[in-house]
Amino acid sequence: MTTLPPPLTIEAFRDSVDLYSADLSHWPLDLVKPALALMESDAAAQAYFDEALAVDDALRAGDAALRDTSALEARIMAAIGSPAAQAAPAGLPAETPAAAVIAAQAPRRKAFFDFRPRDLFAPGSGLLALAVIGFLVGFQPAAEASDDLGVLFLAHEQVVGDDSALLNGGGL
Amino acid sequence: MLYTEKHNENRYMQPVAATGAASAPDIDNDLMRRIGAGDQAAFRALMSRHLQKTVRLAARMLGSDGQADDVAQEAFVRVWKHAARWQESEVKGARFTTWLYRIVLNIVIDEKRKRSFTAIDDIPEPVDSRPDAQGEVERREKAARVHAALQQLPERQRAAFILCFYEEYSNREAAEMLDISVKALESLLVRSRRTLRDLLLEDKP
Repeated sequence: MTTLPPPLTIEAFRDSVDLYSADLSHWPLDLVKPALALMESDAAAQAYFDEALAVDDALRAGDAALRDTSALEARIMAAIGSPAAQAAPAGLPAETPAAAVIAAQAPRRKAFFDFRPRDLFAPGSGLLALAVIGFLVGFQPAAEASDDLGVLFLAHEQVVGDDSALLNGGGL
Repeated sequence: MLYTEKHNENRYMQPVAATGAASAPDIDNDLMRRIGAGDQAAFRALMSRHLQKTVRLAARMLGSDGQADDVAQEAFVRVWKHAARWQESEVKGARFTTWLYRIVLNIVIDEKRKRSFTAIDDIPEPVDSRPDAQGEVERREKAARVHAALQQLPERQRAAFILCFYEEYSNREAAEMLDISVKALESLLVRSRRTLRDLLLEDKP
């Protein structure tokens, strides 16, 4: 024969609603059945529980959402005097198993004087690209200019040739 | 879900993370040990895990987003400065979040004592009357009612309620954070819920 749980008084029921909320999954197991029995038999108990449900819903509906804190993160890194505060990478997501794994793998060694050879890669490749572009751009106008100069040299030779003829007395 | 396997001890507990990965407290402890040795990367990782929730807790306690950032910043600077002290707490078996939230609550209480003016962030934004903004207006009104009701609670009642209802800590953990007995916490919870019920049902349109 199974023993029935002791009945719950309306006062004890109200205390439990206010302590554990209107979510029965938060209640101690031994109180759930008596609470359900009381709500079935007592309209006042049911009404009290329904009100608690409405209050819980209102409290959740009006709750603030999590917001982006990356700027604040950078501010805090600056406050603790981190030299990398300004170049902060995107933060890990909030406490999740994946974030936990990433957090556990965060770099453990500090760079020597904060210098890493790979830091040179970006400016180095930029300079190289600029040099190539400069060479190509510089080469093209030079070729065109040599054509122009060729015309000038021909004109010059013609003038000099004419002058030579004059000097030689051919033209006068 | 109506019934659960466990009661009392695990109520308000968050779901346990997938098996195989290290548990959240273990990761926090590891990060704190590294922070104690001056590891800034570990500090950043720890902040990424807890900053958002810290800001939200401070915002709920203060009722202001602007000051919540300052409180969170102060809390994490203290974590950085006193990380070495954490080793002692860890021996006693305290979770990092218990320590962190205790710091946050202490700063909030200090801030509240100091605060004697209305911060610019506390001034409600003007209501947007465009039809497409109606849903947003209603959401803001609800949020304002809840916010006002929470702010009417005495400090410790508010902290107890926020930690258990919103942050979903167990009564034992919340009691540790507030440095009170579980019995005292339960008394705070009952009183806070009754006050909130009166305030929110009375305001109901």
